[in-house]
Amino acid sequence: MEKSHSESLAAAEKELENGPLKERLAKKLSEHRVQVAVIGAAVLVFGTFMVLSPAVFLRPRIYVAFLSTAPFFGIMALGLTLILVSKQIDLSFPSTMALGAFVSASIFAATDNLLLGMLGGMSVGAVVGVLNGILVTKVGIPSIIATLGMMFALRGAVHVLSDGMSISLTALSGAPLRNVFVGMSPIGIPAQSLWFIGIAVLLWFLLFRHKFGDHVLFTGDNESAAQMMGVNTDLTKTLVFVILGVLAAFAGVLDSLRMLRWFPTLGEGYLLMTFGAVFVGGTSMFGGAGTIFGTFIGTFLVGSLEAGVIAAGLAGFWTRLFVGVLILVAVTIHALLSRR
Amino acid sequence: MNDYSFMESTSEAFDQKRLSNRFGGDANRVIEKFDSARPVNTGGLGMMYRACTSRSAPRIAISVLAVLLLAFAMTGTAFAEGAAEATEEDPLDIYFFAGGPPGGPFATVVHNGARAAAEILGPRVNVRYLFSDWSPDEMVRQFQEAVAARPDGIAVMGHPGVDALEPFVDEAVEAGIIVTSQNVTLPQLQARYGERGFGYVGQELYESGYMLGEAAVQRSGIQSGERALVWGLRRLPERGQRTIGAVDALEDAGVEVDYIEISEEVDADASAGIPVFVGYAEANPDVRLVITDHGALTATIPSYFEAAGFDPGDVFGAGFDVSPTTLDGIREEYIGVVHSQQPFLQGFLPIFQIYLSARYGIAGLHIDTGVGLIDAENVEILAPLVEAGEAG
Repeated sequence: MEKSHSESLAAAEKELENGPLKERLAKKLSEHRVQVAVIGAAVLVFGTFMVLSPAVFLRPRIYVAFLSTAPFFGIMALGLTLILVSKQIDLSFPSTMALGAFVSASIFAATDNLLLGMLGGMSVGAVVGVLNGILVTKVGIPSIIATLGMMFALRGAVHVLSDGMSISLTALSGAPLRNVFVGMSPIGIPAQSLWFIGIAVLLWFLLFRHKFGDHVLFTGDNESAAQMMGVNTDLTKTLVFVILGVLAAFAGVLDSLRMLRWFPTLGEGYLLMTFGAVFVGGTSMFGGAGTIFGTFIGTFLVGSLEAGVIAAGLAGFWTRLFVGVLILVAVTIHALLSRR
Repeated sequence: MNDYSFMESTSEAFDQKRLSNRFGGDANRVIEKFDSARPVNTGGLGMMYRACTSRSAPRIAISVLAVLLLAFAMTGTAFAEGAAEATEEDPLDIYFFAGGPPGGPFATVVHNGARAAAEILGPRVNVRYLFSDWSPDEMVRQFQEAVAARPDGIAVMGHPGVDALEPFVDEAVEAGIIVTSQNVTLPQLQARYGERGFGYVGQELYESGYMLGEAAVQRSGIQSGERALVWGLRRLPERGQRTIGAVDALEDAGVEVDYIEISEEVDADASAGIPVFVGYAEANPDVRLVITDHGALTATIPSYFEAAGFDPGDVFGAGFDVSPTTLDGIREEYIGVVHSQQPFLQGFLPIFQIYLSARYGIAGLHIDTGVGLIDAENVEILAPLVEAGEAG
């Protein structure tokens, strides 16, 4: 009792310091205005879909479908967020996705060991990240050019190595380990979405509660200042490329496990959707700031647009228009909020 | 390895005949006469033996050996040249459009067909393969570049349409390049340049679409007034005819048709279409038949149906082009019928078309490959070829 009294006294003193509740709320909202804007956009978009297609968007199946497909590019969008926060860009991740999954499927085909295959595939993703990092930090090539070259080189390597042929993974149909990654979880949502949530939480801690995250933010905000503060910016940038490389390979493995076949074209349709998820989520291209939560919501926004447009009875031609307008609105809101 | 032993025996027989004609009687006896009259007979080994036993033996032996080696070398070279003349020609430089993207299930089979033809023709052709991600713009750009390279032949796909390709095809034919087409037809250009080798190997697009639509109506048992979905690529200039054919066949049967255009994202990664289909199926639970006008989407029909909560047989799935995953879909009875346009031939035959036109002046052939329907009855016959990338 005594203790709670003292606590309430302390709270009252704190309230006096910070001002009334309304002001504190306003301050909090201002601090998290990007996240609030993204949530607002999500409510608006899904609300519109619910009004236009209640038979679809007021039932759970469509959301299960989103949860089964959005993680494939959402996981990469999380890694891409770190890249953009560090004021870099990476265009090679769709090809890394294909290469990592190819190595994984090949190792599995040779050894019947899925875990070994996944380890091999993700190691290749890490190596790609290191190569990107070296090209950017040591050779001095701007990241957009280095990773553009890497994108073509890796895709070409995939075609040469696979001879254009897909790899069957039907041996994994019904395998318990496959269900761990892309099966239906006991709570009725696809396992890949649980991995997506887990990775999002991990990266949120890494970016906002760990020293490495500070280094990423400092590097993206002002590289020279970060170096003066003792941050190894080259290592930091290389590590964010490695994180995206590993995540892209992991996403590729999940996608091919879901389809029970690895296709040489894996990932080619995800470049724009992944960037769209990050930008709609509120992470800017200018570095030094970003939001994992925004990317998470942005993934489902971008991933739901085509289904919403089709369910509303509009022709598929409208999808691109909607995605483009959504990205433009999102970046405009972000730019306006940043000015204040 | 060439076997020339027959030439020796032929030569020997000819010599015997000639001697018999000149001297009459048995040629062997004539030869025996010559042998007894001349100590050194015509046999090389005998001559060498005698030479080696004489005083100037080493010099003569070396000279003879050298002459024999030279003669052997010259004869060998002559034979080799003769053989080369029979098989080696100036290789025809051919640019081949495989469609794309590289590694895509359909383009891979087309590519393998062309490679098989190139392998058979060997040094007679030098084929360069172009992939375009099925982009009409990309195809036009690549065609212009191919014409600029002045090859002997170009085998192009007609996705950009006649209007887009016409000026460049005109330029190519004027420059003496043999142009032919596969997969998507270019009728006006084929009519204009058919005599100069412009052929077509591929399906008749509209007819193929109509054929699958009719087959799907018959096999699914869908009734007039019931709902079907066609998920296609109507936006592509020529290629869209197949989608239109399928829609027309369903509408002619009185079926109510919903149409969805395949977006670029779904076009590249068919799994991105899962929410799209689920959204459609939730909004239209009475759908009885689904036709996907796209190889990768056809292969993904089982995933679409599973995600939408359909069991095998609930909804009749039909589509175009066979891949290994499609085979599984047919076996699991998610997919009822698939139209095959035999893409291997679309790679194989255009290479031969150009070769035959260049060497023998053969006019452009028009070959309809879109005549196959695959279902549970014949799926196992095609399975090994499909798995090997030699059918689709």
